[in-house]
Amino acid sequence: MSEKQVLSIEGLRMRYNGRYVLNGIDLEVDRGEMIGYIGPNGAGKSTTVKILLGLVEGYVGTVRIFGKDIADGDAEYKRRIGYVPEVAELYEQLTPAEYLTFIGELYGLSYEDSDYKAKQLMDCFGLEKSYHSRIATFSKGMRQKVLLISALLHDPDLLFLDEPLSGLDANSVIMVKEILTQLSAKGTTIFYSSHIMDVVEKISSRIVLIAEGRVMADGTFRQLQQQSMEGSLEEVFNQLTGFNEHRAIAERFVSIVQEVY
Amino acid sequence: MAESSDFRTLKILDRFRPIIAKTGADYDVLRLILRVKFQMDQRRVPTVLSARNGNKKQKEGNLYLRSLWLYALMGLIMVPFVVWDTGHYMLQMGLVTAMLMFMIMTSMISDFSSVLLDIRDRNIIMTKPVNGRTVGLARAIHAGVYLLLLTGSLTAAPLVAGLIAHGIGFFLLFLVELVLINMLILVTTSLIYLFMMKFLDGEKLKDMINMMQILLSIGIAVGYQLVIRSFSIIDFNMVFTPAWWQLLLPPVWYAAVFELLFGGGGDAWLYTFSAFAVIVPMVSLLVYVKLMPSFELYLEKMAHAGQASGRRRGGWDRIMAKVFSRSREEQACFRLSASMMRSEREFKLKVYPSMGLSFVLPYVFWFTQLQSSSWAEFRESSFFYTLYIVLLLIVSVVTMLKYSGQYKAFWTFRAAPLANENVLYSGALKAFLCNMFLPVFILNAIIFVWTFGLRILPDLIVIFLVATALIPLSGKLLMRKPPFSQSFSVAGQSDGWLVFAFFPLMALLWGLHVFIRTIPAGIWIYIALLIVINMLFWTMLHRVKRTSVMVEG
Repeated sequence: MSEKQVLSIEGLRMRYNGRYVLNGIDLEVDRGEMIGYIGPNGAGKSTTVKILLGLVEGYVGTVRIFGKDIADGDAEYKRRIGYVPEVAELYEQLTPAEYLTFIGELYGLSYEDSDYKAKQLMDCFGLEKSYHSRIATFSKGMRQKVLLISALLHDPDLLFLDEPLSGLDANSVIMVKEILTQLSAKGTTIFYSSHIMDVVEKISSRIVLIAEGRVMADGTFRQLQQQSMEGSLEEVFNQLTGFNEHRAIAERFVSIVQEVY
Repeated sequence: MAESSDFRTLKILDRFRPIIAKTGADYDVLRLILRVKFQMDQRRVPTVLSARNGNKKQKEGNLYLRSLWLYALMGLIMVPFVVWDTGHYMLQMGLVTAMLMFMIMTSMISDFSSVLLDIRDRNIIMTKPVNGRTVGLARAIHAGVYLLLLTGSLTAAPLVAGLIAHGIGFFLLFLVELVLINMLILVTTSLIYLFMMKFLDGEKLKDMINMMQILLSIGIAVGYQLVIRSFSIIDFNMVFTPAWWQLLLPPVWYAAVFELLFGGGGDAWLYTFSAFAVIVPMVSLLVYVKLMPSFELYLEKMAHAGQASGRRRGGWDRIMAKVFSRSREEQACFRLSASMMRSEREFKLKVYPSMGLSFVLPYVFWFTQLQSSSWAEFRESSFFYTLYIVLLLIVSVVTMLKYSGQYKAFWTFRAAPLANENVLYSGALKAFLCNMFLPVFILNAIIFVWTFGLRILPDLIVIFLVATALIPLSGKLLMRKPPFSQSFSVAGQSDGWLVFAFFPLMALLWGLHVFIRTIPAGIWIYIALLIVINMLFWTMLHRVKRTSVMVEG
């Protein structure tokens, strides 16, 4: 993979029901970057990712992935992308063995390769015993692990993760974070979208904050800190998105909860 | 997994590989997707069961396939019409295709819509390097295979009967028509969905589709009557008079082909009908293949929430809840049930068609009766007993009350400090009585009184009281699980027989009513008795403890 630029977005706009969800997003991402993609609910984060994955059409602007315009109708670029959606949607009636080999084959791996790899990866997560039981019986954390494996099975060059740690226990969280760091060091580009600011702060090499369909801030954590004169990413986030009444609202909330009739 | 690739259907499909490849789909990927889909269908029901049974090996086997014999039995109804040698192919085959299309279409709407509108596929498959056409085609073939199996079982008996009675030519024509009919049904259903998805989005779209599904199933039931109506039945001399509006009735097209080939030729109308039979499915199939990729894209809209509607409801429910129940918990359950019945789509889809049908059914009986008697005679007759048919509504809805698409949310009640689970049952039953049964009954009662006059008022009261007594009783016998607590996937066919078990009961109540009317003043005693029974049933069967009312001061 010689190309340095993995992803470029130019003037991306998207309209739903007459309202602009994306208001002109420009972004260039290089190989091996670990991008923390953050923003308030409804800021347009998942819409961006859906456009990049070709799930949504009708946008304005250009999106290039691996140097190719994705609007040309060829789905081939997806072969090098891995995706963990926010909602853990899986074919629950299947076992991980069946599900993961199916996904592997969709990406063009052979049945044997994907089975071999999936089994090993399940083993790493401590799920070797569950490899042949129905996903429907799994806990939230186990499902999330299966989802992570399904996104990584084909060794993607570009990874989109939406709350990848949700439901995982503390030990698995440490492990997944380490996996991501190592993948990134070896050249995988990662788009990490989450609402948990501590994690984003720690693992991202670059943070992109979007709000109201625009890029509000873009840079390393240190740069954002200097820009907004705040300590933690959480505070930076609050400041950049103009939210500073959390204390007052919390007080009101508690007083309503405890109201006596 | 070598053994899972030997689904027979897939082997057959392999022969069509070149044709499928020509549509621009990737055959290997398509096969892969279908294999997984079939594999999942084998386990459709166990999603719920397996949660209980843990990792124990389930007995696999497609439940749908197992229910096919039932359809084969239903197919027997068509045999007499096929064999019946009237020389009027237009009539007999019109009836056969109408029945067939009715059965296939209802099953298509209620069972396969979820296959056509599965949004799970988007996140799982569309994010992979697979083109939209392949996914779309896989979806269509998936639904198509089941449709063919269904048609196969439905028509097995009529086909054999046709072969014996009319020879091989008839048999082959019938077979070809079946393929065309299936194509027509599958493609038009998809196209209607596509059309709606283009113009609407989010919740509104889902509501719209839901409403369409409901209207369509009621519409088909009515259209079915219309086909029979298009033959004026005058002392067994059946005369078919072509008219332009019959161009809108597909069964007429398909019957016309038979009339044309075996009934000794025909006029321009028959040629037009026959041409429609072939051309319409073909054209719609072409349009469908063209539009398939956009279908996949529009599905995204289904996942996208539209604007919130600012509609405020609940005033009425609050008042009715207060009227019908005293316990605060029960009132809450009443209101929840009322809004679930109004807005839970999956529930509406399963329940509203049977509601519509039980509304219309009495008038179907009227209609057949009115063929032979005059309106004046009819008004003096005792046909008002047909109102008992509306009671079908109770049995069919109460059995469904325990299901919901959102059955998992039932944990809320488990977590809540409910002293007594019975409030759930009685709340739901009362909400059903007030919001679903009463409107249907009152509307019907008005029509009945208008037709038969005020003389039937006591009888209406009897029927009403029988109905209200039947509600808690069927709740006790048929619900068994708290309302909205079970997945529809466990519903399946198993409850279907209950509705049939209802008919003898209805006949019994009907007979009792007729008998009591022969006793002087018997009807008033009966009414008094029914009131007592009602009070007993409503209070005893789902006993609500009164202590829990005092929780808050």
